[in-house]
Amino acid sequence: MTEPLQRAQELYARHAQAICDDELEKWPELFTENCQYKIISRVNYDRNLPLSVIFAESQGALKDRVIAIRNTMVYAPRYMSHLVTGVRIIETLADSLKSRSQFAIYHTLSDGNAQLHLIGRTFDQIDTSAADWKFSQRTVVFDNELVPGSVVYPA
Amino acid sequence: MTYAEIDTETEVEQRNTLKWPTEDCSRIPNWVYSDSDNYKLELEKIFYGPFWSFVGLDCEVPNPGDYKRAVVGERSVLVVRDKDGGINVLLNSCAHRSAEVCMDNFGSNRVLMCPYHQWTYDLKGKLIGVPFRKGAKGIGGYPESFDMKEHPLQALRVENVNGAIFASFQHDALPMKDYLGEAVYSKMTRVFDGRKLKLLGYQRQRIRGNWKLYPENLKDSYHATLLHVFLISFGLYRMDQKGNLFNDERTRAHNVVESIATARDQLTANTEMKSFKSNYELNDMRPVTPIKEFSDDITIQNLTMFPCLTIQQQQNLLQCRNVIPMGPDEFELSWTFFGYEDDDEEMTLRRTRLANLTGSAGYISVDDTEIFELSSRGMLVNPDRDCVVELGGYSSDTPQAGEMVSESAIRGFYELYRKVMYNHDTP
Repeated sequence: MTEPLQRAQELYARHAQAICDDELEKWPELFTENCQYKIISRVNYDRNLPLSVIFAESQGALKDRVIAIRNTMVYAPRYMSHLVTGVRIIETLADSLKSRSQFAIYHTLSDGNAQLHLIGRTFDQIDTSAADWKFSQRTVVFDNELVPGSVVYPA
Repeated sequence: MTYAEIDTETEVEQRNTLKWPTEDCSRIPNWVYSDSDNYKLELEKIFYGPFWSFVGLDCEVPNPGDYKRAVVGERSVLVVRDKDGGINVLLNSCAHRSAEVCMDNFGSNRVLMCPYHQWTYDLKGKLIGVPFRKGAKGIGGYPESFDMKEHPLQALRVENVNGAIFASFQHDALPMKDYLGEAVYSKMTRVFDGRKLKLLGYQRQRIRGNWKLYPENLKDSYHATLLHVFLISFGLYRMDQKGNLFNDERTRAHNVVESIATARDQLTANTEMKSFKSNYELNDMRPVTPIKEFSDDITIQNLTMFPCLTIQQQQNLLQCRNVIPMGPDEFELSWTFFGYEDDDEEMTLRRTRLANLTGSAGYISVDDTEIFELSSRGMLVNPDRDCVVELGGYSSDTPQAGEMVSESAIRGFYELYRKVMYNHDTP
């Protein structure tokens, strides 16, 4: 039996890799059907302002995001690189656990230079009731309020 | 003014006047998006000239002593609520050694005190305290002639349009109603209608492109049907939506584009939606499900104010998009999302959901910000080439009713721009 922390870390790693490997179609599968997902600046988060960069209230909304990224949004091609660390379980509940992590995301455009894209913390909840652990909640709080360019891919 | 400044100005004026390719504004030379001398002139003549910049909403500083930092041109300013309930916009630069007085983006205090030598100002910017005025231990201090009244924080002119705060470095700037003209002003007060506002949050983006690309993009409304594939692909936009486009009579540099939906155009997850010929269907319709809120049928209203503020109502999504220049080839796009104080929780949630369409990850807005960097890359290396802005003719006249495919608003922007930048007479 694997330790809960290891299983949580595995989920975080799979999340990062779905995006970095450009296998976005796998990304919504890491979330429960009724998940809540958001990317929000630290200034809004700290002041209890609801406005988010991405705000999704279901796995379906995450799938919509992937369809748009693949088919409708116009953007310069880029590689994403997620460095995730400090995964920690904060609280263990009956069917879920609360966890958090630290991250830095870099993007590399066609000029070849990697640039800091988003940096910050995530505050999450993992559904542990089924064999496959999934995020039921993921809140990405980024510090660098002045985002370079646009946020195309999930964080 | 120093000799160096006069020289630069004259030089830029002559060079640019010579190089502007046409008498009318159907051509825009690429150097206007990259030339650094021209950019310095823009700061002086436009951003520090008799024009208005958006600095925030009054609900961001609700109580006496509340302040927030904002930017006009490249200069940091403080938006401060004073004890009388008035709002002052003060240059965030100490009268003593020019240091920025406030470092926090938001704060609240009884006075404004510079951290360096503790020169202290009241909430209207008046200097009220200077350490060692009489020197130390009875020796030294300021001379008799030193007059505290001569050293306030520089106050900008302020106008509050129903909760939206505007500032200008020039005290002879026209009142907002005259500045925008009756028609455009009435569209601004359609959104800022006197109800108290509620702040929903901010977004900020750094775009590698010239600041003028942003207002131009909003003035050219027809790019939406070509560039923004999202709405069409998901069957959320009908090409036959009625629209209206007009420029202000006086300057032609403030514009409104509005789209008027008929009942059939309302974006709802009904069965009719499926009859639209679209490639995809949304799994979760909540981010595109607005309700009727205004008394008219206008579903999208883009108001662009010279030089570079856009106020947008997109269904129930309300935002100010302010452009802050950061040199000739970079700008900050600063979004302020808001609702009204009497919004219930459901309405706040609705506005938050709709925000998925705009901002730095917006289904629609990403296209624009990416295009600015693409435009900029083409312009920077080809300063001797021109942009062609001839759709709808050569003038800045308001197009005939219903004509949505026009670049007249961009021409209007440059008619005022050239007058302000290269002529001596003030508009």
